[in-house]
Amino acid sequence: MNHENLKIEMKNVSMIFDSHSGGKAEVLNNASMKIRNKEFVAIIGHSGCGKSTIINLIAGLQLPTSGNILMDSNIINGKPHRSRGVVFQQDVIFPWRTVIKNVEYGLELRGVLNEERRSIARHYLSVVGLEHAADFFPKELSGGMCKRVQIAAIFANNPEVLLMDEPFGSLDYPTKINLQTVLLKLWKESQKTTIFVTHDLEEAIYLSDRIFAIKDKKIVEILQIPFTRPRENKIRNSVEFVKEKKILWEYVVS
Amino acid sequence: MIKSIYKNKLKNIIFYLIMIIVIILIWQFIASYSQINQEYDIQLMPTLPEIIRGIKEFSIFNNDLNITNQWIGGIQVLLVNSVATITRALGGIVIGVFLGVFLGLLFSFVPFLRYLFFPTLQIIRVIPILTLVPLFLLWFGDQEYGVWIYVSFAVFILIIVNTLEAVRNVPKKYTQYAFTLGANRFQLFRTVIFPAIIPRLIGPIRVALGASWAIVLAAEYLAVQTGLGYLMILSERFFKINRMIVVTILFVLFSLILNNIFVRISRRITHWVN
Repeated sequence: MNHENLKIEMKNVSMIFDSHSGGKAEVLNNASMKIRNKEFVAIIGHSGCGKSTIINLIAGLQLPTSGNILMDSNIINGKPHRSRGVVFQQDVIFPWRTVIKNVEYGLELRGVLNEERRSIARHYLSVVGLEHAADFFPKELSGGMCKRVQIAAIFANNPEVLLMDEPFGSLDYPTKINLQTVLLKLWKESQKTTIFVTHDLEEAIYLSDRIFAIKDKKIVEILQIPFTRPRENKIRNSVEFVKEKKILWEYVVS
Repeated sequence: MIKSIYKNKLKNIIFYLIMIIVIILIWQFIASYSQINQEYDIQLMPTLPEIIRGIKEFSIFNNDLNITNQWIGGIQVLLVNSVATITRALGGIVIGVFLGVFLGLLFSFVPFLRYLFFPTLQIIRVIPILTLVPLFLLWFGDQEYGVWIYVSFAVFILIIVNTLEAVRNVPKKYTQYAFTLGANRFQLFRTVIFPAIIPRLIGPIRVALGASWAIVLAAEYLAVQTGLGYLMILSERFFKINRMIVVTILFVLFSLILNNIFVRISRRITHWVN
């Protein structure tokens, strides 16, 4: 991989957790991964294998036991920053703020002025289809709507790197499809380097350029997705798509 | 507060009015009956007319020579002392809550301060606040500011301990979310921690409301020369049970009103809670 093109790198990262019972749980052992700029990458695996840990490590919310995480060749261990935005699986938008004030939050922190903040927020709300809900409070929103607000809020903050930890995991299939479409629509505007963690094979193939998996506590690339962008929803049922899915399926089941 | 038994609000109010009238009638019946059979010189259960006359009797404490009507004089005395008691209670709460929340947030923000003061706070918190009345009496005598310091202190201890606990219990996910959006520690406390702990403080503040009321009355019973508690003591010394009942009714009335207002305010503030 070209050195200038390298956006995110995990170098020989090991992660050992202290479990409550007193023992130690090793989740990653000498794991490495390289991700190019503007690349959309998926990481699949069963629950508990370390996918969320990777997100937390790259986001800077956790420190690796050993090894380094680099962005643009700078070590970023344990330092969260707005250049690496995270969409969490749970609903984390602030319940005490309205939808639009939630989307404005990152801009507000940076000191962006009222008018500009509002117009940027409105733009992203309309892309995710929630401009009518601008003054709602989170308690009035459904799960899918909350998720959309979260995505709008992260995109409004314009991070260079997007980390998504099973963001659509708790949603029903039709809502999931809809949000995947919204995500790609947003991504088309500004191709952020994206790491998308999921256990849904179809989702991984539809969204990403490359797919990784966790094997023996290391991160392994297992598939390159040949489809061009923009990707329409109907390709999910095409022969080529199913072929890729078969490869993934064989891998996961084995 | 009190659960509505009937969905219809009007029916509800009528129901409570009827209950109050029934209680008054029962009281009146028992009071008049005991008067006929009295073995004691002191009337332990005053009848209704005697209780109402008690309002007039308070006018003897009126220092304003311009007012000659006993009803107005009595009501004025009751009003002035009610205001004294209520301002002490509310003032103490406002000071105690502001200081408690502010320092609670500050100590959470600067962990060193928390480690320094937390053990002391935990110890003081366990002491039943009313046991300190003699101490405050000694220190401040009958000074007005003494009551304020006492009430503020009691509320402060309660609120700061709960604030520290509330900050600890703010879900980590909100903190992580804020950091990934670029918040620094100060912004985190200002925009996330502070709004997040407010619902958790409603309960303790309500307790503080009740506690401050009790503390003000205790101080008025023992030291201070104004207020409803003081009127209560004066009435007791002259064995005027009817006046004591008047003061008691006022206690209950104000307590209910303050509580009701607080519930309304707290509901509006926490409208966003799921």
